This record gives sequence, C-alpha cells and structure tokens, in this order.
Amino acid sequence: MNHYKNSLKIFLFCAVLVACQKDDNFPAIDNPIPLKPALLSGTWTTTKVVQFDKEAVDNGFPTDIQKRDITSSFPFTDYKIKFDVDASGKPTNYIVTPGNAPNFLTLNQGIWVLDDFVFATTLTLTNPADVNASAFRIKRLESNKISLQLVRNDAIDNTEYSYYEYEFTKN
Amino acid sequence: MQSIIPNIPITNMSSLKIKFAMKNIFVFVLFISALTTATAQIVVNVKAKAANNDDFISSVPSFSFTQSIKLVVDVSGVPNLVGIEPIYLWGFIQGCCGAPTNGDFCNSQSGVMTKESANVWSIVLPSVKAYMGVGFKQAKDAAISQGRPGDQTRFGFLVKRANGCSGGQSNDMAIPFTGPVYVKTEFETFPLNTGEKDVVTITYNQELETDAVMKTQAEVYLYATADLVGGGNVEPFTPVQVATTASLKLAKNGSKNTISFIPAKFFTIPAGKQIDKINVLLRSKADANINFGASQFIKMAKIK
Repeated sequence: MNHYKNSLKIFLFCAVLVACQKDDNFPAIDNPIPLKPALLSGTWTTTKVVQFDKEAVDNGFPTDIQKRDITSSFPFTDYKIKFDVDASGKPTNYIVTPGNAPNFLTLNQGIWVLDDFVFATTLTLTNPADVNASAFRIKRLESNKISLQLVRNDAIDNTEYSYYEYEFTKN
Repeated sequence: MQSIIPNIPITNMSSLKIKFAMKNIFVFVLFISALTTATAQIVVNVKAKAANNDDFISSVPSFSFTQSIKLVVDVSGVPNLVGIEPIYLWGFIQGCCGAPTNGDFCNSQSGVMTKESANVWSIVLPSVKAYMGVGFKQAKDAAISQGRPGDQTRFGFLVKRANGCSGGQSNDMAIPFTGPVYVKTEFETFPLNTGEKDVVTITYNQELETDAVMKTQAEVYLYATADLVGGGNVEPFTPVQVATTASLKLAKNGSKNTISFIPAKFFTIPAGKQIDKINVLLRSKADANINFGASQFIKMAKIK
C-alpha cells in the first residue's frame, strides 16, 4: 500500500513541476493585466533580446531556426529607456539611452502613448517635430518586467520579415 | 549567377581560387535547377457538386503550401452553375480564415476564373500561401483545431456566380497540401531576410562542407563584401587582412560556426547609398589564397 502512496506522491510532484514550467515564448497576454501608464513610469534596462525570423515562425520551423537570443552578441544590456508620466498619471516624455547597444528606434526622445489605458497592446514613440515613429507590441508585463516587440517591415511591400523581443527590467 | 562572379576578387586570385569560384558557380546552377523543379506548377482537376455536399478530395497531385497550382473545376454537376459565365473562386482555410480577395459573396469582383471549355473553369494561384495571405503555422493550427487526421492541412474553396447568394454556389471542397520543410544547409543566414540596420547571424554548418580542407578547419573566418544599389561595392577587409582580424573569426560550437554583425556598422556605406546585397565567403586562417568554403549572398530587405 505504501508503495502505491509513494508512486502517487511522485506522480503528483512531477505533474506540479510540469505545470509550473516557464514559457519562454512570451505568449500574448490572454488576460491582460490592466496596463496603467503609471506602471511603466521610470527607467527600464534591457536584460534580454531575442530576434525572430517571421517566415520561420510562420512556417513552424524548429525553434532554434525561428529565433536567436542575441543578448550577448552585442552590448544590449547597456540599453535603457525612461518613461515619464504627468501628475495625473498620463504618459508624457520618453528618452532612450542606448549606450553602446545597437539602437533600432528612429527617435531617441519624444512622447510615448498607449493605444489603450486598460488593455494596451501597442506602445508608440513619436516626436511632434519628426515624421518618424516607432511602435512596440506589448507582449508581457510582470511587476518589474515588460516584454516589448519591435517589428521590422519591408519598406517596399510592407510585409513583416523579422521582429526583436526586448525584455526590460525596471531599475 | 552573374552576381557571384564580380564579387570574388579575381585580380588577386590564384588558379586554385578560380577553381573554387567555379565550384561555387556550379553549386549555384544546381540550386537554381532544384528551385525551378520545386516550383513547377501543379494542375489540380476537381469536379464540383451541388451546394451542401461538402467534399474532401484527397486524390489530387501532391503540392506544397508555397507551390503554384492551376485549379480546374468542372461545374457540370452543379445545376445552378451550368451555363453560367463567368465563374468565381471563393477560397478559405476551414478553422482559420477566408482569402483576402474573396470580397462580397453576393457580388464578387475578384477571383474570376478562366473558361477552359463548356462548364469547366480554371484559375492559377501563385501559391496557397500567397492566395490566403497566411503562414503555414496558421494553416497547421487550423488543422489541429479541426481535429483532422494527421493534422492534415487543407485548402478549402467553392465556386460561384458573381452573386453567390440564394444558391448560386457549388459545394465546399477541400484539397490537401504539404508544408515547407526546414532543411539544414552548409550556409545559413538569420533572419532569412534582413535590413542593413538589423542583426545578421551567419551559421556555417561545417559537417555539411564538401571541401575536405575546410571541413576540418579549427578556425573559420568571414570575408564579406557589399554590393551597393546603383553600382559599386564595399570591401571592409581584404582576404589577407581577414585571418589576422579576431572579430572576423566565427564562434565555434562543435561543427556549428556562427558570427553576427550589423551591416550598416560592418560596412562603411557612402552617404546616400544603400546596400543591395552582401556577398560572403568563409575561409580558413592558414592561407589567404585558398580554402574558401561556403559561398553565398544575403538578401537585403528595405526597412521602413
């Protein structure tokens, strides 16, 4: 009888371990956390950058063909971005401090906006004095971490060919 | 093929280098031949039935998601479509989506088919991928959600009058298609398409190298030039300089050698110019004149 009890305990322990495995693919937020701008207020530092090949993702190719962790290929952890909010908690200015990291944004400072203050999916960076803009897709938010995707589109046919997924940690 | 020849520094080449260049051209010709074969158009003949007689037609020639097909549909068995001209295609992937060009079911403006003979109509699709505007993974996910045997991916369609409402349509038909398959090659770029401000990673899978000398090299180096839009090229390091430049050495992990760079930083691009494509040769440390391995060029996307 004890043999069966021990087997059951081991099975339950394994089941809990499997259930608690972290998903490294940063799935879309199925039940979005209310993304109040105040949650983004402050300085964020890059802790991880993963590059994706859109075609390989679409084709369902092996994971190591779909994406590459390029964090250590360049000094990406130098990269910081600061989001400000006004007294009422609304987004105002942002400033990027790339350090020695590659910088894929077209504007290093300006204003930032969310497409929705409750269920935001896009964070856009603009500057009234410049026609250029950049936009991040918001993939995941934790208490002090956020994952943002920067999409690369072909200028000729506007198709998405690649995207970078940045994991930022709040300072 | 012409693009490869001028990018190898012929003026400094020994006869051995020319031999390797010829080998690369030969490989490229083989590649083009294989590509032509792989993209040959497939003709798919089906016989439509009256509406509400959904039909999965498995007995069609095998074709892939990225392959062009000519779909030939006999509507002689569909009373509401016999003698009607023209006939239109309405495409979909069940469990996923409709074709972006479907338009209004009651007033089609696109998808018009070509009359082959009385009550037989055809249309050429560049590929299911292009026609449906989705990736293979979406089609596969749809197949899984539908619980199809073997998660088989299928292209669904019907044919119809311009006004398909009020019974002016055939049955729903579906035909199977296969997906693109990843095949590991000697030389790979990541991502497949890239912009000059993107991170590009080159992988040299040495175990697939056919040259005996290159296959056993402990150290492999990158030699690259960039062709510019409108003519001209940039060579940041000559072949002789390459092996004495540590930053050009590929990182080795077993037989897998990789190097990452950002073209806009790696190449000094003249003001007002853009990179058209990048030409890459991988070489040994020992001798600047021989032992070139995989040769390939990288496609450049024009980023927004």
